Amino acid sequence: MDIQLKKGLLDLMVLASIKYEDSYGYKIIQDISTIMDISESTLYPILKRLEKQKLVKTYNTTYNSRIRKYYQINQDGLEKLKQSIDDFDEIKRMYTFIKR
Amino acid sequence: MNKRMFISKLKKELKNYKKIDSEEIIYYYDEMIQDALDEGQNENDFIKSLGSIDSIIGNIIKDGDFIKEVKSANNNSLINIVSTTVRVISLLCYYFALFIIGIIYISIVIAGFSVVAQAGIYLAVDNLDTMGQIALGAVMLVGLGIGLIGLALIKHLLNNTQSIRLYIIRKTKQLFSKQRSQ
Repeated sequence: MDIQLKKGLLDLMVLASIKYEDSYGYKIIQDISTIMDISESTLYPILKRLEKQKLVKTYNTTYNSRIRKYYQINQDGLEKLKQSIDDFDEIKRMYTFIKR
Repeated sequence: MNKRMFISKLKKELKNYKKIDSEEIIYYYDEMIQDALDEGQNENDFIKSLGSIDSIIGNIIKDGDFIKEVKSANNNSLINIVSTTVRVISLLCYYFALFIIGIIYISIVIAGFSVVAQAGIYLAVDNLDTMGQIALGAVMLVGLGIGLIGLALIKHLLNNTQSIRLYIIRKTKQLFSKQRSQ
């Protein structure tokens, strides 16, 4: 898939993967990789970016006597996902136009 | 490669990139590997699947938005909390310092290369014996060395303008807060 196109979608995929429950790096990869290719090194900048944009919140919890960083979607993140669905409708129309 | 080797190699490589938050990245990979191991994945295979350290760092750098955001976040957090006076004064200091340091470095380059030129001219014009020629050749090499050192210093300066600026802002701010408390 085109890299630019994929890049935008990956942010949304990560947001969507924590839509219903908080998650951590390894699990996010596992969840997303069933649908699209994502590597550990691509995920890091995305998580960092989402955090900077205040779309996700992070917190640490202890798991197996070590610390694990969890990512939690916040209101702005949910808004962004909702917005993306509207965008997809537009993309669908564009796609139909391209394909004709 | 096992986890310990991977992490220490990553740590070592990240030292070359001051703008990247290496601590956090190491933490991220440490957790990632540990989670994979807990899930029963093979340590060597999983670490192999992470790709080379170069490609890991490359991916972080390639993500231009990310770097830009981190940069502006660093700038903003510092600049927002300092007053206009501090900002103006520190900016003036910054350009002045940059100007002085720049001139010093440029003069080192000029000095170095003029030694090369001078020695070259002597070598070409004067009729020297072998010993003299060797001596002048050595002088030329020394000049070349000085010139290259100057160039390296200029390059270093250009690479580090950002950190110098932040350093000066911080220092000016400290100066001001000290005066206020006195």
